[in-house]
Amino acid sequence: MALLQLSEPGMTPEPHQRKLAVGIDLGTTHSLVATVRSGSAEVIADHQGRNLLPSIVQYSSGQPVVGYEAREQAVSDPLNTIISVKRLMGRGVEDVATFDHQMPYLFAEQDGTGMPLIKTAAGNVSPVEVSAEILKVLAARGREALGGDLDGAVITVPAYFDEAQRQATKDAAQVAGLKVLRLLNEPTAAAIAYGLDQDEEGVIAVYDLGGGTFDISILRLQAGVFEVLSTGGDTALGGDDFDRAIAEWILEESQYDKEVTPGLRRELLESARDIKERLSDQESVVVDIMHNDFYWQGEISRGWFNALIQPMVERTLKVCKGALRDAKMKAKDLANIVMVGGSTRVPYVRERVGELFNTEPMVDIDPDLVVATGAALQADVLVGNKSNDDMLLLDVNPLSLGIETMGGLSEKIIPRNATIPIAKAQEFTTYKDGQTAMAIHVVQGERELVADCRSLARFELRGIPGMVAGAARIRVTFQVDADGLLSVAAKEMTTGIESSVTVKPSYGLEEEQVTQMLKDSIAHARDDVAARQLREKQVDAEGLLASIENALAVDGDKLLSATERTEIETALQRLREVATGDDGHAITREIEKAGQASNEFATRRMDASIKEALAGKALDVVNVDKEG
Amino acid sequence: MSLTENYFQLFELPEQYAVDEDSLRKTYRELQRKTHPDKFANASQHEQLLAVQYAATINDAYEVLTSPLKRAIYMLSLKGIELDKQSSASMDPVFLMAQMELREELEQAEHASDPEAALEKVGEHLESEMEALQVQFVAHLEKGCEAELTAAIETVKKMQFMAKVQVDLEHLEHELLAD
Repeated sequence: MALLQLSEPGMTPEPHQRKLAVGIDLGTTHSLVATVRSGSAEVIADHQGRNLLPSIVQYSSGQPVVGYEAREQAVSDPLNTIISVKRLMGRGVEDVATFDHQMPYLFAEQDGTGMPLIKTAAGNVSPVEVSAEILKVLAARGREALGGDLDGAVITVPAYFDEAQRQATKDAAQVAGLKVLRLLNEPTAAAIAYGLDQDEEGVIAVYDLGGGTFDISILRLQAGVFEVLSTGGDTALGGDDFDRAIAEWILEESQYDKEVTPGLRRELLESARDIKERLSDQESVVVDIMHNDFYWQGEISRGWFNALIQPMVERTLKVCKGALRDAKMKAKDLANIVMVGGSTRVPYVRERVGELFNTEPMVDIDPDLVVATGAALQADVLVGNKSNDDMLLLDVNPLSLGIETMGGLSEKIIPRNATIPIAKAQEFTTYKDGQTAMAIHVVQGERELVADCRSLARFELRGIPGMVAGAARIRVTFQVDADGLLSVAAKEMTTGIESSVTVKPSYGLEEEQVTQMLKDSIAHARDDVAARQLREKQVDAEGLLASIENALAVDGDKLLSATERTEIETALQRLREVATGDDGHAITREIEKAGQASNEFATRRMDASIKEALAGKALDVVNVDKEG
Repeated sequence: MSLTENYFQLFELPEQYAVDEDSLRKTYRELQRKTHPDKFANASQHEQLLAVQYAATINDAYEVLTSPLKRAIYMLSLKGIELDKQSSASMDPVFLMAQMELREELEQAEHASDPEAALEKVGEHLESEMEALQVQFVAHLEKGCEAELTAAIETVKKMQFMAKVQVDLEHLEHELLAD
């Protein structure tokens, strides 16, 4: 009898048909894109062979300019050239006000949302749109290199990014027209690139100091499982701050007494970056800066630079100690320290990290490329090109999530460093007789007082029947998915009244705004929005058909009665009839129906696969018996 | 096998307090390998939601089973005892004294010449107290009669007290780091 070919559960059939997926490292100073080709991950360079894309966007009258070209304009056109936009992601106008000394831009506020907009020659732009411009360039690089439309992308974020920052990143990807397979934490991405490379086992620390963010993650690596034990960081600390410290010092030394123009400030920062980089190889550098009527000349030694950045490096070391404690580990328990991010090229950083962990940090993987490489490997697995049975990522929630209770206190519902996905519920009650509504204020952070935490969202549960104070039972459920994104549901238990929100951060974008931005940006490219959306639906339909057909082939006989099977097959047939047609609504409708028809089957398959996992060896024995 | 089963059944463990951490972790990974949302990135939306639910439940079960205090509370709940609904009988005075001593140690450690080392010592003390309580809990639970169950509840409450000291200790440690 001919052998039937069955593919792995959870994997789409037709393995010969490779899907196109990329990993994107969306950095503060640089971004890059990588993909897996013939089994190994590689960074996709531009036409000039450059791997990195400066995360800089210049807005003038025409199309936005991104990357090296934009960087050249940074000194001459500082107000329209957006640098380090990552620092603005998920931030409100009041946060941005504190960045005044760092960023020259003029800000406006988007009506009612509290989201900051940057005023440019091309109109007001949101940080999400600026990031989307960078992502578009990287996506185009990916499309060109792979020769087709991308099926999906993994985008990395700092592990310590909060909910609002993550959501903003995901929105930017959507505006750029990318399908996000997963938001992946940067240190975890680095661990994948590193761990798969080295076949490492044991506990490692990933120290990731980029241009604008710092992360530390402690992970246990074992047999393809990457288990994050703890994470810590500072989303406003990076190599940019080293540059700023140098620039400020030079400005002071120069005794320049006129107003510092944005152009001069940019010039000083560019020089500072250059000084910092040269000091990685040289013991001292001679500096000569001229900009209009500004002039300064001097010599800067590495020792002086080390002293300058010492407080910032100390800050990162304290965070490292905290992460070690949270992981219940001692420095001596670590098998290795992996250094990630361009700022770990600074010798003083390496030296101090080495001292803290009492070991020589690993620097043999290019610290600029490692995150994108890991993201590409994960994207390849998630999109279904590679059997994903051997790799498993277990990541954590970086900051506690809670709700405001009486007295302005935060009641934590999901603690930090809890493995995601996670769902937790807690019951609350009314504090006044006859209270019929309850305001739910979702906050993130470790502090006791709500005022010291980040406000994520507010919503109301209405229609609670009037009862005496303390009699109502309101169950609030928090769920954090594998992207680290939160949804909250509230339910009054005695009546069953429900209310739920997918948390859209207080100053984030509404779903419709994201769609509108996407439409606008596609319109620019003279693409047909409707055609594109239809194509996406067709792809979804194809995917669903393939996945259910595959599931039926594997488990249909085992788990379904003849009637049940017929029901599913009928729904599939209906979907198949419309799947390639041009009626988008019909496709959506039949996708929904086919999904519903196969719900119970999906649950049974999940239960069966758990059983199989637990049975382990017992299953092999059964197979042998059958053959005999 | 399904999510409505209790956590011991979900991990195919006997319903007893002592757990083998290594085998628990192994089972946990096997279960996550089958249910983690990453395994369903290409599946239908329903399957993806299902995966989040399953993986979250398995994470919760793992957390409960690996934590001495949460595991004890969970075992009581399987016997129909909701800990926070138990009227609090007065704590035994010997325990209260021990508790106060620990608090004092904690306060002294904060102002010690080497607070980090001092805190670590308090931590060790705390751990040994916690272990003694666990032994007591198992003894009470195994006997199983009404009076022993009441004693088991009291023991878990003592464990909760200890856990609070633990939280304060960790808080102090973090503050030390933040300075």
